[in-house]
Amino acid sequence: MELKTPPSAEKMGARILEALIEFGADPEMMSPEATLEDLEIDSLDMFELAQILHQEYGIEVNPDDFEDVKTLGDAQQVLLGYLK
Amino acid sequence: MTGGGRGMGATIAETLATDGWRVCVNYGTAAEEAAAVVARIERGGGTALAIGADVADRVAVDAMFDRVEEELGPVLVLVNNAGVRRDLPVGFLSPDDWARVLKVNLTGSFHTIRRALGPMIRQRYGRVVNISSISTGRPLPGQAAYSASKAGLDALTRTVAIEVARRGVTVNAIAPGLVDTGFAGEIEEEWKAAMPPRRVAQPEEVAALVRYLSSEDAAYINGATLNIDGGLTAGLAIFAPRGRPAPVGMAVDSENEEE
Repeated sequence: MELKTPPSAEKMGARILEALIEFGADPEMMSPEATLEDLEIDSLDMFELAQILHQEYGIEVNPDDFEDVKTLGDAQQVLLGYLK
Repeated sequence: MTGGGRGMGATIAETLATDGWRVCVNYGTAAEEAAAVVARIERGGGTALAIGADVADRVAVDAMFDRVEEELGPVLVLVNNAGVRRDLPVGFLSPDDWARVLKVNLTGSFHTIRRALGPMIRQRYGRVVNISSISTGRPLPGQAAYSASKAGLDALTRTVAIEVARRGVTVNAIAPGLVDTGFAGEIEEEWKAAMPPRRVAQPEEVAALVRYLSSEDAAYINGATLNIDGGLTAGLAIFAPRGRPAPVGMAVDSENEEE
C-alpha cells in the first residue's frame, strides 16, 4: 500500500464521517454502534469512500476486508487499520 | 474512445471532438490510423491523444487511464468500441479464438468500466456507451463468440447501470446493424436491399447516437441497449433481398398465395 500523505487516525476518521454525511447518512445517527444499514450506507457508498481514501491518501481498500462489517465502528476499525 | 483508430470508432472520436470533448483515441494495432484521427481532430481545433493499449490487458488499461487523466483531465465519457471477431462455425472455433474474442469484447470493457467508474462517481457525471451488436439476439451462423461476447456486454451494461445510476452516471449500449465502415470492403448490394431502408447505416449515424447518449440531455436513459439498424430487427430479421421469393412457409402476398 502506498500512502501519499499518511493522515492521522483522527483526520482520516473525520474524513470518513464527512464522506458518509455527503452520501446521505444522518449526522445525528452517527455512532460506532449504528449499523451501515441504519445509516443507509450501501456498497456504492463504500466504493466511493474507497475512491476518496485512495485519491486523498493512496489507501487501497480491499472489499474482502468488509465481509464482517456491520456497524460504523466496524468500518472505521477496518479503514483505520490500513494506516498501521 | 477504445478502438478509435478506424471505422466507426474513428468517426465517433471525431464527432465527440467537434462537441468540445478532449478525446483519447485508443487503438490496439492501428497506430497510424489513430495518429491520423488525432491529426484530423487537431486540424479542426480539437484536442486528442492517441494511446495504444490492448483493452484485454488490465495493466495497460489502467496505465492508459492514468495518462489520459494527467494529459486530458478526468474521463467523463467512455465509449467501448474496441472489438475483434473470429467468425467460424463453433466446431471450427478454437478455444483460443473463443477466449480472445471474449477477452477483448467483454473483459476489455469490464477493465475500462472498472477503471473509469470511480472518478465518474466522484464527478457526479459519467457516460458509458458500449458498442454492442444486433447479433446478440439475431446472430448469423459463425458468430458464436462475437454474439456471446456482445450479449455479455449488454448484461454488463444493465448491471453497472443500476449500480451507479444515483451518482449521475449512465451506462448504455448501442447495437448497430450493418454499418458502412469503409474497411470491410464494398457492401454487397444484396445486403443493402435486405435492409428495410434499402441501405446500411453510415458511421455518422451511429456517432450521432453516441453524441446524444454522452450529453446531459440523455441523463434518464440508462441501462438500455438501443438498436440502430434501420428497423432490421423490428421484423422477422430474415434476409429476404428484394427480387427473391420469400422462403417457403413465410407470409406471402395474396397473389402468390393463390399459386
